[in-house]
Amino acid sequence: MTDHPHPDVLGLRASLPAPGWTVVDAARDQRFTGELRAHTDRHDEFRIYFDRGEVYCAERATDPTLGRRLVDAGALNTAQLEYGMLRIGDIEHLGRLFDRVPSINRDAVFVLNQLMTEETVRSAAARSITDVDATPYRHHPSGMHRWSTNDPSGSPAPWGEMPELALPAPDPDARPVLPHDAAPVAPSPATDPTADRPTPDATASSTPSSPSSSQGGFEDAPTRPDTASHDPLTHDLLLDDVVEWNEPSVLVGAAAASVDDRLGRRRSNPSLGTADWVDELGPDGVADAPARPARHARLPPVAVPPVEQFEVIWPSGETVDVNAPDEAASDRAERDDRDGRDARLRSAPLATPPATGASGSNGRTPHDNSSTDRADDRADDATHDADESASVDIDDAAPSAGVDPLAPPTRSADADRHDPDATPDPTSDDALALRRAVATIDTGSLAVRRRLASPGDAGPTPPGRLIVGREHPTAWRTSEQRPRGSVFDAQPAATDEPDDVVEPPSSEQHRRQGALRRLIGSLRRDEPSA
Amino acid sequence: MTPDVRADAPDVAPDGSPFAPPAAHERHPDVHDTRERDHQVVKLLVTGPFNAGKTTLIAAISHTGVVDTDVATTGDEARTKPRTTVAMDFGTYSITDDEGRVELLMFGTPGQARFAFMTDVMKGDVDAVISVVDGSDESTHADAGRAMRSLIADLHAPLVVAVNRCDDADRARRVARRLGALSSEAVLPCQLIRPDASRDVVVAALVAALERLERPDSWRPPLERVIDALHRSAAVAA
Repeated sequence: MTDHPHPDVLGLRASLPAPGWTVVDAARDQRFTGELRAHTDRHDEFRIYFDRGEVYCAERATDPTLGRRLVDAGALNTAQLEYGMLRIGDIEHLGRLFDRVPSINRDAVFVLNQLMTEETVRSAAARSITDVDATPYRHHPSGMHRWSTNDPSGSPAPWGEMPELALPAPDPDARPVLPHDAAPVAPSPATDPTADRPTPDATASSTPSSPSSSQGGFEDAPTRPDTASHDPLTHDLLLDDVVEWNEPSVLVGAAAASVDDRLGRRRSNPSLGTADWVDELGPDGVADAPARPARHARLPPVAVPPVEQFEVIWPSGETVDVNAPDEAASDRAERDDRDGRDARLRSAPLATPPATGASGSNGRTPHDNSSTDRADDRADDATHDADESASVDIDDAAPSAGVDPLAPPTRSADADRHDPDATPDPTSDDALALRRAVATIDTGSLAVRRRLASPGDAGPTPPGRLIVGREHPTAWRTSEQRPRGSVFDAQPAATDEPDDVVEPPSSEQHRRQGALRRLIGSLRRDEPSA
Repeated sequence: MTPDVRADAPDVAPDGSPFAPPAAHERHPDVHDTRERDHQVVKLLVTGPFNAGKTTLIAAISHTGVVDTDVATTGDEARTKPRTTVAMDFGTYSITDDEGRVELLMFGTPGQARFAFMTDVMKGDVDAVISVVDGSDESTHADAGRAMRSLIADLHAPLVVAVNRCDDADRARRVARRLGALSSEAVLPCQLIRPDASRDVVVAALVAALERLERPDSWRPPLERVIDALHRSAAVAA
């Protein structure tokens, strides 16, 4: 606030009282930027905010804050508002709302703000304005005038400009896609130099070439891929290079040359039909999944190194490579006995886990998570074979039907085979530390995930990922203690305060309510006049 | 055209001028006027197309004589009814008890299109709007809906739709939806020729006004009006 504000910034005082629309028009004509407070003959106050003559926000002095209004209208939830807002004293600054909470629906916020602004301006325009206070360059305290400038993607100003769609209208003579038309066949990525899939650019200004416009139309139009038979597993692999596309990808913003090449191939291939490029675009500008599931290329087996390739450092400082093949089991046992109780560790030679790949005996595909988990499970089980504590082996190295995963563990056949004389000492500190070191290797084991999900009550909590440190106060004993969810999970639109909080009505309002009740009662009692 | 003023005219002030209590916003809170504090005025606006039943409704409730501004109908409308309202109908219903006096003022707008400007004159601090429509004459529904939506968009008042000459509640709701009424607004099928039907309509309007008073939010109505206007348009289009 200046020391000596201009008494009549907009030059309207001489014409007051005046209809509200004349005041608003005067501010627009002068391309006013700032806050305009209009007082009506009924002692109401409207606050209208301009930016170069354009109204971007309007509210009454009695209105709640903008954030609260957006929450009540459903554009935000309370969690989003709390995280997106910066409290500066009594001011709730929302200038960085979309930066702090990207999940907020910008369009909903803009539309609601536009609706509220228009309604308030319309209400003020019809009123008689008796006094006007104009403060140049004072923007809305919420900082909403910064929304348009902070949006890197070029979102519109909050006062109503909607972004133009990146997708242009299809060619007028484009033939609609018929349901019986066959889907086009895409060239192989290996042979197609333009097969690299460009990322659809929302801000791309280049107009994608319409197949029909550039090539003069096609014979038949392909059908949209059958989403009902869409294999979700295939969909997850569409971005994998090993998946062979059998459909050309016509994307927004793709180079015209690449599009022409693909279209040329399509034209030369009689099996391909005329394509309406709009139909090939998915909701995000990416081509939909092909109608036929993608064929998985066979990958060479990936050798997974054994988990237990580690070096044991004994308290005496001696290091032993437990995976050394030439170390006899007897020598190991002798050393264990020599170093005492703390050095006992049963590290049975492990069977190399089967290579993951299609050539595996199980015939699973490279991206079959269950095979990877099974290999990891075998590795994990081999680690725990020496530990004959009450740890739970969910996936046994030799899976067999009827094995109760929660049953007390028994000596596995592998342990007996490799060291029939082993006497486990599961409670030793070194053994526990070793297991922790092993378990910190995150292999994404399905078994571990299962244990996390259902630790079971059969015995003490198994070591490993579940326990960061027994002495650590924040260790999660069970998976239930692990925090879940996100602070931005859908929150009910209801505010913290109860909705039906009734403020004590004023005396006038109380009398009016009483008068209405008395009228209603009287009418119901009275006999109506004929 | 001279309005036919009946003998039992409405209350008048001692100086002979028609008694017009000050509006709510004109009453100063610091004025210690016992009569003013105990005197409440409730205004209802009764609107609707030509020959819908507005005058009948007001006449059935009014304690005082209705200021009848009907004259002989001319033109094609004479075949429908011999007399028509050319200005407005005005009726009152008042009660006086230990807590004070409550006066219900009912203003009936003319139904003819050429007198539509009177509705703008009578728009003001109304507590509720009653839209009366003839359920048996669908030719008037389009214009009635247009006028009703325009009126509600300007007024911040609850709406009650009375579908006259209709006994079916479902049909009345369909008619009201075609007019643009929301599902949350009261719709009453009625036969206004019966006095008890008029009473029920007025009671419904008063209940709607009471519910609006008891809503604590002060800022929600403008946004709700915007949303309501969108819903009305969608309902009419549907």
